Amino acid sequence: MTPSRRYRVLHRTEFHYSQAMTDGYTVACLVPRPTPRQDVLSSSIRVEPEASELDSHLDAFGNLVSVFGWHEPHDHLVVVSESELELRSLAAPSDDTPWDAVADLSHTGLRGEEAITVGSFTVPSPFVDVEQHSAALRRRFDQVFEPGIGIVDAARRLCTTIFRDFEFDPHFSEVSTPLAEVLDAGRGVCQDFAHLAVAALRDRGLPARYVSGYIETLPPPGEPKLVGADASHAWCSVWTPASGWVDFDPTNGHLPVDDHITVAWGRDYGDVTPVRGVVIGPAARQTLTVSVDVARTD
Amino acid sequence: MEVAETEVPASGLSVLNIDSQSENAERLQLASDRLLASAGAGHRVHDLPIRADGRRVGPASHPWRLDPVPLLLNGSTFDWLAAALEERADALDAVLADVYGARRLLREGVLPPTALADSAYRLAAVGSNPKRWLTVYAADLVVDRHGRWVVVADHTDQPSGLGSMLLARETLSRLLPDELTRQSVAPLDEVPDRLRRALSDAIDVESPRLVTLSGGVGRSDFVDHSYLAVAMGLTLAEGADLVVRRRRLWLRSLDGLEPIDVLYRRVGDRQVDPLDVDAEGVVGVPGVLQAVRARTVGLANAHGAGVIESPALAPFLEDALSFVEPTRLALVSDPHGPPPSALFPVASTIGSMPRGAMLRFFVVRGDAGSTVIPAGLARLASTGTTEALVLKDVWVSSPTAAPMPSRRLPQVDFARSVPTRAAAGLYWMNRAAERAETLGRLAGAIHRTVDSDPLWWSEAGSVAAMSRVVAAVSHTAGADQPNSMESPINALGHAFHAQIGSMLAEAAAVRDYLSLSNGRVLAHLADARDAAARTAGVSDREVIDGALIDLAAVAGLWRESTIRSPAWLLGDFGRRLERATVTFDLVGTVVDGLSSSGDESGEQHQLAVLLASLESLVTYRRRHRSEIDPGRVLALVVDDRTNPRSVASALETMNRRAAELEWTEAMEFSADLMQAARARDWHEARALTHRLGLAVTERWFSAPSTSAPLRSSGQG
Repeated sequence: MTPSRRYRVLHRTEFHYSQAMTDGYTVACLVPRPTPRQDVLSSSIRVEPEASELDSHLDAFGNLVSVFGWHEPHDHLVVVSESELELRSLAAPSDDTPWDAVADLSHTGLRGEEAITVGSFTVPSPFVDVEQHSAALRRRFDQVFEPGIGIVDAARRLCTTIFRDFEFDPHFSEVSTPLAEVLDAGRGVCQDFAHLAVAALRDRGLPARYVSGYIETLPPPGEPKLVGADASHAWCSVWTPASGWVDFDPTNGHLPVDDHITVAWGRDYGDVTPVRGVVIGPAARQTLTVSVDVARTD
Repeated sequence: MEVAETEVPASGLSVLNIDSQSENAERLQLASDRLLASAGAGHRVHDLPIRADGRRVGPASHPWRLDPVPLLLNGSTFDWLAAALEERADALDAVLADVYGARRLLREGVLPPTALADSAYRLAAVGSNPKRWLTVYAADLVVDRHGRWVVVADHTDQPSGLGSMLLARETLSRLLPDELTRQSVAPLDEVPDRLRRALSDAIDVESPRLVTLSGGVGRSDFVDHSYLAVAMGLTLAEGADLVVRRRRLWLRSLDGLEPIDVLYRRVGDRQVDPLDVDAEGVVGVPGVLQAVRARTVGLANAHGAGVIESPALAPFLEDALSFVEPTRLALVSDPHGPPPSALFPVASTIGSMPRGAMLRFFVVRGDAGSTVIPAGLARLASTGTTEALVLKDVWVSSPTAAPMPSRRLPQVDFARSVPTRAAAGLYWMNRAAERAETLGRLAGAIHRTVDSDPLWWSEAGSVAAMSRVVAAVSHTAGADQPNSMESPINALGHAFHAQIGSMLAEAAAVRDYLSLSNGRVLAHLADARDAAARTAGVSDREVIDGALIDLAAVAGLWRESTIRSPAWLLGDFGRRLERATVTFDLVGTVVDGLSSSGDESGEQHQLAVLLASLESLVTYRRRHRSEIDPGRVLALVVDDRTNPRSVASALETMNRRAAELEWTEAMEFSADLMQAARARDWHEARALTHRLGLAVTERWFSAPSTSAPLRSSGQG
């Protein structure tokens, strides 16, 4: 077990508009949330130009969401979040409850708080249309869900299957590439693989979350550079009765995930979009630049 | 055909007994069509072209037909239904409070997670805790073959039909006034008031300011909510008219930003706030849910109320209702709906099969309790796809349920708070009307003088001259080498048709700022225009003359029957500006184009046409009982202040309006314009009118019109 590690994350999102806008609203999901694996030492968001107003609230999943408003003419917008965190390793997850039993339990057996916090992740969501893709998902991941194998094992198999069979291609997808295209082409980016894994799990009745965050840029010596660095990263979580939510990263074939910094989780990308918003003004072109820097600081 | 009473056992429903022959039934239906069009005048959106500011109006709304024979519902059945519907509305409200609050329904397994799996369940509404979830609730009911009433649909998101119901009642009250009394039908006069009061209860504020959020004229239910807004005296606003700042909702009006306390939303849950997760479209107001969260504005119905209509929830809804309201609800529901069993004759389809009806009832809920509106709207089962939707009014006779106690409504003065977009609409409407009038008069003048001297008018030179004039005034490219007067006359007809279309397009969006009479005239104009287009008669004299009479009515009503407000001042300013502009167009082309070839009769004809277009021919002839002299023509139509149609009069009025608006820049423009006109420098005058037009837009209407989502980068 490696000791705790400190990180600093800088995430910069910049918009330029070809005409001045009179009003702008931005919703940012950028402040990391505390988890058993990480402490948030500090986190702040600053914006340019100065916002006319700022509001924060916790969303339905407990993520901290910041809403900024601009009501002066402006032709550019910069949102920068900076955080310092301390990550620690946890014991490897081990839950050999058969995955089919977990599915049964999730389907009709959840009560109380879990009915809400776990149950709501078993169903389709805007970016994860399980019903439409069920046949294709079954074909692809039939080997993964062998009857009777433990839930963590199933998650591990799913993770390595996607890592092995799908190619990471940063030029392939757009912001919302349909799952069918990812399945057909066998390629995508981490957002696609996370949606794919979540879809495959929910198709089997298992509760699955989409997680947004970052990973460290510097690879350990002798190991390949991790994909997803210098960009916002996404992976998944599956629920287990004994070990709670277990994270895994199908893009990099990791289970457990040790170097992943969590920002937020939800049903899919739509719930945790790092920066989204609306501008009001004359018709104009928008240019977007994003840069992410994750650095070890200890 | 005898319209007899047919009664379904225990349903309490019957048909009004109108002793009539088949021709009478047909006559009644036509009368109903006419009265409905008149009562709903101006709210219907016809097939309209591009608006003056370049935006396109949506497709024609599909008018529904009102069957002239109402359904009768006896009072005691209604009382029972009312109690059951109130109970159902309360239970639905409780279900909403739970699924967005404590969520015991989920915790105790009454609802599986799949029940709340579709987009109808709004996560942003979790924990929102509004005063009430349902302010307006509508239920669709049928009578099954056992004579039992069954609910087949609940409408909780933005229930529509109340406006249509009032419109239907207004129509029938004119068609069958005696019958209403004879059957002791419960009146609906208080309905707009009650709804207004209930809407005010969406927030705890003294004298709240209410606004209706409309999805725009392109929506199929625009007629319904536009009519209702006018009936209640509520400002009709679109998303672009509203803005959220400092966690408050504001209306963009000519006077600046005005705070709004209650939003009566006529757009669905997913469309209310483009900033919401999984939102749809841009008709909503970005950030409004923040203001709701800050409790500075109340939404009616609350955001998230639409989940009741969700197909995912449907299989579990009855269980959920039983959970929150254990004493069994009196009314049974069945979303897969038994076919309506009671069959009612339809006047508009004489000889065909009678049809079953689905009845919609409305419940309005406020702080003082619930009211079930003592009326309904019956929708007849369709027989095919091509026929218009047929509705029947439902008359409730002598219900015994006590009416809601009267309470004085707080008065809020909305005279000045016209949304900027609406003011722009009124401005462009007036400009289009003015130009249309001139085009119409020009067409009439050409027709008349062609009749008087066909020989001259058949010459190439005259045709070319007229084509130039038409082109100048209608801003269209003149036809190359027109070979007969047919060509410019046709071009003029089409230009006139198009201009009226623009005017109607603008008027449709600002219907609630025009008087009722205005609405009728506009409807008449629209119908005539449609008919002309269908019969390819846009250039017909009668068509144009008829339209000119309507345009005169519109102008008169604008002057005499529209409340004076900054929006009126701007609209009137626009009318005068257009008058000056079009005069410069005409005068510049005709006077400068007069040849020095000595063609005297030709010159006389052209000057006469010019004068007639500017409604000044009679005046000229009365004043100068001799041939028409160009210099005197200019004196009359440009300089003469005593001629209400002159440029000088127009500029004088423009100046007065600008002064009332405290807009000095425009007053300077007026002075410059008068100078250019006196100097007969038409080029400079036109350039000035163009610049002044731009100044109007910049000074008053430069509120941005589009909201767009920010691009997302996705996650790698």
